[in-house]
Amino acid sequence: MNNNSTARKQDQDQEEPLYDPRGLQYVEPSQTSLQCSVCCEYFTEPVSAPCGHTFCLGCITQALEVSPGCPLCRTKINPNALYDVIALSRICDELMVYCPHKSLGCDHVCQRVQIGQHLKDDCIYIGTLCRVEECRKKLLKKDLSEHMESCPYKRVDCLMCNTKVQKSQLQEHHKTCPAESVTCPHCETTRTRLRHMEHIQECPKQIVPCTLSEFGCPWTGPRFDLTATHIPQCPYEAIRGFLEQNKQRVESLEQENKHLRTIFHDLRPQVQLLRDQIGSLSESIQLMTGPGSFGDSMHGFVDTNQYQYHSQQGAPSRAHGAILGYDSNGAENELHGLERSGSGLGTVGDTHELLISENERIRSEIETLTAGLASLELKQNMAIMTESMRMQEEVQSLRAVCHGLRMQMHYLLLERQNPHGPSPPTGGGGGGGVSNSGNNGPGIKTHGPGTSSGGRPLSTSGPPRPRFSDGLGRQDTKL
Amino acid sequence: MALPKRIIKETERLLADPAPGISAIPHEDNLRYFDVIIEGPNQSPFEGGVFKLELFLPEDYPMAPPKVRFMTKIYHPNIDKLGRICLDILKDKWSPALQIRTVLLSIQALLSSPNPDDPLANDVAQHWKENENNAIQTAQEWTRKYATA
Repeated sequence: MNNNSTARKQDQDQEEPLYDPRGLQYVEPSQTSLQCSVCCEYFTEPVSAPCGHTFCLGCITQALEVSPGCPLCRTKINPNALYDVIALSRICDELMVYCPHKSLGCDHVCQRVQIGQHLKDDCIYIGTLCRVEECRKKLLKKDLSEHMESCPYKRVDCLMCNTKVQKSQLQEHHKTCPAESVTCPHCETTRTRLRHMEHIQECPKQIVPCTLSEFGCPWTGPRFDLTATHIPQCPYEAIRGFLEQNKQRVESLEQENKHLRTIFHDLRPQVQLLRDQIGSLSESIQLMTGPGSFGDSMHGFVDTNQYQYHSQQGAPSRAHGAILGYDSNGAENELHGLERSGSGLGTVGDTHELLISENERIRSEIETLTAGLASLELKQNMAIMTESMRMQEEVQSLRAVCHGLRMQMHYLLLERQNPHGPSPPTGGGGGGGVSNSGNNGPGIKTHGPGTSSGGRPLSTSGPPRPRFSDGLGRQDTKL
Repeated sequence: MALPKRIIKETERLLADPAPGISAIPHEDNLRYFDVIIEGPNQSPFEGGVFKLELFLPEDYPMAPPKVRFMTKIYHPNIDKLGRICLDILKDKWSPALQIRTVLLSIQALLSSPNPDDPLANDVAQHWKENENNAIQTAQEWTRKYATA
């Protein structure tokens, strides 16, 4: 009973989407008084609101979600106040409709209420699936029986072994069916396939290779010949013990080789890491010795210069030593380790070689690095030389300027001591003397004009300057 | 997305039995988009004019109102210069019982009776209130200028 009801439920679940009640085609489509004003179709599950207007239950529910008023008169509607209109529902259910599969060829016409039944039981134009699990082909109900005849997934009995086989695979099945009788190709006796599988293992007429063929014995012949005639004569049989021993040894070597290979794989990232470290080290050395900051002041320059010089001498050799030591130590350690683990094994050769070449490469890298360092040192020295030359020149010129200044001071002091001088600070000006304002102006700009305005006898700077400042002084006096 | 049966029905009816002075033709590539032509109603400032509109049925039509817009320039206090229409049933007073036909009839009625008290184009409404005769004259001029085929 229970099973029955669930089965029916499943049936309904399958049939439910068979047709859209709102997509039905009516024989008489234009009786507008029986149509919902929202969907413009004949009512399905008509309900009335207290205001007296009637809609499909689905339509009015949807409309009330958007706006709470009646779509026709805007009276507010409480969704709980809607009530079924049974008579109208009956009238609409009795309207005649076409089968939804009219376009496929079904010309059935019935009352709307019966269309579900028609689709479920009678309509042969309804879509269905082939009942065979693996096929599930979509087809019309009317074509189902025809399809079932030829469905390639349909199960058929194998007449030999009495098992069910898919129709399309029956041919294939006959090739492997255990009940099929098979003739042995060697001794030409016939038995079922199941037995044949056993027979073929011991058929005396089957052509077999020598049991020592894996070591190279080229002999093949019928099985009965093997033990009877070949084995006693087989040259490989004599050294069988040796061959087998050898085989075992090769196997153990292969295993060891595999093991070593994994070790090598584990070591590879370590080598990479070491290489990276060397790279970063050489970079930092380059940074240390590279053309860096020259001091702003003379002292700073000299200091750094000395420091750099020292460091240049010290650093490369130290760094070089460190790199070499580190690298060779590490690499040799690894090599030793490898050698130890792979002692007595020829196959370790290539890993060994690889490591050596790696080492060689790193060494050559270091060599190029040291060469680079040497050239850098040279460049650096040249730069320092030129820089110090320039600085010397500058010091000399500064010294000259200082000298000029001192002379000027001297002169000024002398002048102040001299009572005849144009000493009054407010003085508008002695013809030959220079006013204070005149002195200040150019004096700020450079040392040159100051000295010249003070007195010509010093004349450390060029001749045009005194003329310029003189002119300025004269202008000032005019003003 | 399938076209709801109601839209198909409405379109069929609009084509088979058009309202007087109104025509609505759906686009071939988009059946929710209509080219609408409304003739200016008699005894209105828009008499003799032929006004083009576009009408679009949104995804949730008929639960949501259609979107309608004037394509022809029109001097009307409830229609702005972009052609947008101030009409309650196109907004908060929409009801799913209304249809394309009823909407277009309402717009035609709006042309007959402009409502400057609920304006969309403020300057036009002001003009309408201050000097109705002059405003009507402008509307007639615009109709002649822009809405004669």
